[in-house]
Amino acid sequence: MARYIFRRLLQAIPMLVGISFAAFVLLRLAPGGPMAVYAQNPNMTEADMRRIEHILGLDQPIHIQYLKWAAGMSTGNMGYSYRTGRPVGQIILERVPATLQLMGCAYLIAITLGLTTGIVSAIRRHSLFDYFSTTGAMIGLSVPTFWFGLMVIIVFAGMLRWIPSGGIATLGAPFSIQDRLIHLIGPASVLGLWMTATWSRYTRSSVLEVIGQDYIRTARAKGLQSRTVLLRHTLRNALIPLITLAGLEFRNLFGGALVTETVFSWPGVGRLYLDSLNYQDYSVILGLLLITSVMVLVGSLLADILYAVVDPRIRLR
Amino acid sequence: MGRAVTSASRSSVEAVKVRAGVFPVGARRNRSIVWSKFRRNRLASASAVVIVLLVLLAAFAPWVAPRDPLYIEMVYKFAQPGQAGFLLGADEMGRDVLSRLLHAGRVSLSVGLMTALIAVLVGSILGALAGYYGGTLDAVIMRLVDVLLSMPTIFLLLALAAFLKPSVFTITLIIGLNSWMTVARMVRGQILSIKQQEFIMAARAMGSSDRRLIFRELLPNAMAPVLVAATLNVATAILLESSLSYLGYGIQPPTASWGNMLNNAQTYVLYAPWVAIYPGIMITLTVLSFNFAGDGLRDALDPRLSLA
Repeated sequence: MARYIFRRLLQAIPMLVGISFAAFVLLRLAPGGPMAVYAQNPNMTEADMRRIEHILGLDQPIHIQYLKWAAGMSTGNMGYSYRTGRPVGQIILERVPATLQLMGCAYLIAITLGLTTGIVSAIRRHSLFDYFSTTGAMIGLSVPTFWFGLMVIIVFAGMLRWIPSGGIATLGAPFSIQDRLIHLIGPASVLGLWMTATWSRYTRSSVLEVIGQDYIRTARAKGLQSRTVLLRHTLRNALIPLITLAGLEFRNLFGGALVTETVFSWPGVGRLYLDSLNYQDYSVILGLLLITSVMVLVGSLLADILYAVVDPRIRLR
Repeated sequence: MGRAVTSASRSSVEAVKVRAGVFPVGARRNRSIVWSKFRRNRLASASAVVIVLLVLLAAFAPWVAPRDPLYIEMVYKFAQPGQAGFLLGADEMGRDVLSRLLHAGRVSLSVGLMTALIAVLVGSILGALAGYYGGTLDAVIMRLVDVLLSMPTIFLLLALAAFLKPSVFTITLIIGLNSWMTVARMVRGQILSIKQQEFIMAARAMGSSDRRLIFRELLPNAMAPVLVAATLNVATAILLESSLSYLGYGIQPPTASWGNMLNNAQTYVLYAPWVAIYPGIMITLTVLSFNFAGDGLRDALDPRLSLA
């Protein structure tokens, strides 16, 4: 087991280098590069530009720049914002709790609802429930998140006035859990229901695949209660592959969160990313691109390790 | 290598073996079986009809649309549906929502279709090269796939879109160049398994060149799941384009796309909801149709691959 984990960690290192290099080069390819912001200042002379370029180390070859930046990253220094001059790490950290709240709630909704509907669908295959839940899941996959969010706002904020139309808390009001929760309901349900579609589909197909196996027929044939067969034989095996999905979903989750945060004016990492793009704040963009990618990487790494813990066949390979 | 083989890829590999064994390659019989199976799937055929209708409406938009989609008449600002001849109402500049929807369909559909084409071309070629030659080339291509698949799509697309001058062409290009990875993985897997079969050995024994082997023997036999992936890819691409445009980094106004029609929706969604409702319905309808059609195609090509 330890050897397997070690091997997977080792495989992740070149990935990390690849991702960070790709992100770094991408942002250096931006028109005008990092100097574009300074170039907008009419008081800058050519000599000033050269001097700043030299101070920032931008006159060095790109691989040297990358190595210096990577060395800084490894000590936790992610550079400074072009816009405010504050450390990038600090700016990002401020936004993380809001995004974590949103993602956590969405994940919870998706896993509970997705697993339940998926399992029931598979067991009662071709039933009315199955029909509705598979069609519903397909619709869920096809509805653009931002539009779904807007519809939720129209109905539940505009017409019914059950929830506020955006934000993380009532402006000027003192902090209260209740106020926070009521603001969270809208975005968390939109993001959660969107993910539920994927979870439901995967769960259903995974359970169906196991139900078709010989050992399930054997278990039934030897007269076990259907409850036992379902819980001990079917679900135990069918839910294992979903660990992989949990890891893979991270990538989509970030995209979904960015869009949902925009619709509901939720002050999270996604909104920060969009704002930084609007202000051409390259160092923040780079930091966010890297952090989210690393989290995706860590997500799939954790999923692989967890999979190996649950299913010994993987680590023996 | 140490990676969990997903059930989907495992069964698709088996499926190819089964198919290659049962049906002669490219036989007419095979194709008509697929076609009749697809037609029997009511949801899938209905979706195919909807897609054809949508494409026709988009193609003939200038003749079908009641008004000029770009014509601004502030007097009719937020005219309600049905009012003053605006069947689906007017937007914040008094432009006809229906006409804009029809014209936006041209943009959204062509971005979706062209993106799928790019994804299939790039994915098939790189996947085939990786699977056929193996070794360093394989490692380089597949690591590139891994790297791209670790970066959150929308974040990456936004960064690219922010640096390029956004146009229909550049948006198509960047979405396409971020969608080929799954196709590449799939084709590589297919090629690896087909490579071992007798007819490839036979072709090689007859002196076929690498290029002929890849493009004439291997790729055509790996195309069935790629066709499914391409169809589903159109759906994903349309969603991505609409998200980018909604966020302001996709298709730029005044050109209408279903996504950018929702661009400022936040500010007026509560008092002019129709402006926000219809573009979303069009996106959902289109994406749903491509998803159903793709699923139907998968079932028709091979019931063993079925998710449903």
